[in-house]
Amino acid sequence: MSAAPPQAHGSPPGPLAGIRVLELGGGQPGAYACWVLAELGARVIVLERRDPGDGAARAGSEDAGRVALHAGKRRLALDVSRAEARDIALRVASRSDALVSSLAPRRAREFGLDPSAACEASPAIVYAQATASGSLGGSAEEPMADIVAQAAGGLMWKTGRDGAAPTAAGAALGEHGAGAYLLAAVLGGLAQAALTGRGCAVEVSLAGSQVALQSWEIAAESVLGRDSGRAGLGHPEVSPGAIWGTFEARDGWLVLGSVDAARFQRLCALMDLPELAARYPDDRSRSAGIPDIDRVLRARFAAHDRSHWLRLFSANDVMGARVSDYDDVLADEQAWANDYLRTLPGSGGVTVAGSPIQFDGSAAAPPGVGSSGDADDPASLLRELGYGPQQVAMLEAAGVLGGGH
Amino acid sequence: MAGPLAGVRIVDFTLYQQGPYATVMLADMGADVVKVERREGERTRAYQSWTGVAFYTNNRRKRSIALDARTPGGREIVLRLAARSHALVHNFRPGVMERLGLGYGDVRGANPTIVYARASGWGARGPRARQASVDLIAQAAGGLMSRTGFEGDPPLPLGAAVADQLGAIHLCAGIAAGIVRAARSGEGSEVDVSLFGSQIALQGPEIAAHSLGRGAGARAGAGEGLRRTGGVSGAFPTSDGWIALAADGPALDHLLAALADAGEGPPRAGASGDHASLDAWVRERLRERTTAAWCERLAPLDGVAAGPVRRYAEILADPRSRANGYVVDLDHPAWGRRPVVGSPIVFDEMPLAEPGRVPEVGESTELLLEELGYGWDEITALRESSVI
Repeated sequence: MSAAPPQAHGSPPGPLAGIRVLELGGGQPGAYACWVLAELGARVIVLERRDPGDGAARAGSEDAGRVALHAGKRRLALDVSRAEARDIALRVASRSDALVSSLAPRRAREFGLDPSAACEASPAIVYAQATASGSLGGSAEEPMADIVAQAAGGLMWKTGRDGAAPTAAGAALGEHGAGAYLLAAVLGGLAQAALTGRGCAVEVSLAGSQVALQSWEIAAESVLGRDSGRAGLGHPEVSPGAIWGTFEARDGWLVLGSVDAARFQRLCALMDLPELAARYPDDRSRSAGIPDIDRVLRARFAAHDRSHWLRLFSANDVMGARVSDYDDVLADEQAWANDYLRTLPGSGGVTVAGSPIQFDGSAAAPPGVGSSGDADDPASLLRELGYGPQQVAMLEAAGVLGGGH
Repeated sequence: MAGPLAGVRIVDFTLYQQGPYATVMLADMGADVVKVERREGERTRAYQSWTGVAFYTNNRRKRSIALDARTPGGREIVLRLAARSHALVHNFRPGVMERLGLGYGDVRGANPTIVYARASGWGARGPRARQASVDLIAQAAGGLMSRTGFEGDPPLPLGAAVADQLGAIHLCAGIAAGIVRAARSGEGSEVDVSLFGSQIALQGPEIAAHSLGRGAGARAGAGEGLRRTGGVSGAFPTSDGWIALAADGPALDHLLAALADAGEGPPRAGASGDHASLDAWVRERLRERTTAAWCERLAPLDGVAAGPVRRYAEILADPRSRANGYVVDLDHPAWGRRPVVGSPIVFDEMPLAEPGRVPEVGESTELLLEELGYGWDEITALRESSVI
């Protein structure tokens, strides 16, 4: 099966049409960043390490995460112990605008692609790298792990209820949060290259990303000089003085956020709580009365199903939402309307996320063929890189290549 | 440090968190961000509470112009700013900018290559496109809360406004992508980045696994529910605190051997199929020493990731946070010089050292008007008619 670029499928070119990206495969932050780049129209080639003897043994070992983050990319596995493999890697780099790696630097060097080699191959390249904790004042070689980053960044102590164990985010926020920052960093570098012709090196760490995701809360503790405690059912800074939290209706959970003075009056009217509205007529009294308000609201919410409450709220600009589980998310019309979800072609019905960055009122570039995690055809990729048919046959015969695995 | 976006100009209409954090990221990359404020200044400027801290951390390194965009003169200034800028960003609901005469069509008329970006709650289409949203709403609607917490807990929000931040980071990325397109093809763009979409993207792999009928809805707990493969992954209690650990494959063998040197070996070495008994054994061993002792013993092992579960105070005091520019000192007129969070993005090995400062309301109004070619007579007239 050959992988065609997204443009070949008749969709409008995304904003990154013509941008070529080399992803050194093997890490989630880079995979995440390059997935969004592909969604925006960049052509991404993933180079993966194929150890001698690999192949069939690892077939089928791909998890859904890899499938989801490989949408729209092309992949080539290389036996990096071979000089020919490093030559292929260098050829890919020489045609790339960005190289994105979440491998330790010593693993990137096995591909022959340290920053200076990549820059020599493509002088304006953006060389982007994820590390565990930042290479300044420490090592760039430390192994990266989602949970260790979540622990290092302080969020585990802020999430959850008083007295509970440190509580992780319900998704790979350590890896994908860093992936989002890496994405922004690559695009910052690509903008510079497009405007000035200059390349750059850029690094984003998992631990640093966790800290940055909490820039406001960490600054609040630093500036105001106190620990605001844990989030519980709301937010550690906001909930003590405002209606901002998770409530149980008769059939499940919902959230309420940002209830200002006008919304509080409407909320009380909608929930048939006129005495509550009268007791707390202004911001000051409402803020001071949060424990009482919370108690009254909790009792009242239990009287009806959440669809009852949320219908009233959405018609009256009170911000509420059901707490969705993944079945709810997969069925959510709002997600499909914005291409935040789509069914992967040729995958047997796997639903994957789409880019949250939507250009010009439509999805930038739907995932191309080869996106279900199947092996790309290495021969066609190598021919594009300038290898002749005989060279391709020799490389295949010598075991330098593998497709997916 | 000039940064990769030196010379890039941004017109910033945003309020609260998602928009202002996106534009402070652009400013940290070197862009010249002009914050357009109402003449009285943004309401949260003077707050001595967490809202004031949010303003303070999200508006450093920007220039402020104060004007009344509802007046023809104010609108004209905004269009002239837009005409020489690479991007304009706002976070109003659909219709608000159009009513000001500053919709995409109006702004594109002044600058055909501009990136017109909107920070949104729900995206540009669909039944909830016109509804407002905030961080907690997005965490609930995107599914994250249903996975956060231990079995038996109610759904839990994260302890920080991470949905806002993720919406902001993707917004920053979207603006930069639009600038790339404009520089390469001369085409302008309209881009929408929502809190809801960013939540779904964050969980793309987990949602795909769920759609395949795998990953059966486990809560994340202290990390054990996030485990993708075999091995050990999660936060565990030590004799004096908590340690986070992750190891699989060959690294798991190194980890288990190191843990066993405190006593007898694991139940079945490397038995990835039996998480419960392996986790229990690991848990028992880890309780025997302090977090610091275990970090010193385990972190050097090849492929083993280990580190303490830290609190904010430890992060603020960590020299490595400083060395990489993750924590920087910022001046505030009332609070003085305080450590705040810098940038996790380090270009060319030059970390963010100087976070810039927070501008006074309208501090650069006159200077910017001069840059736009307004004469002093015109500026005086604009001031007298309360446009600026």
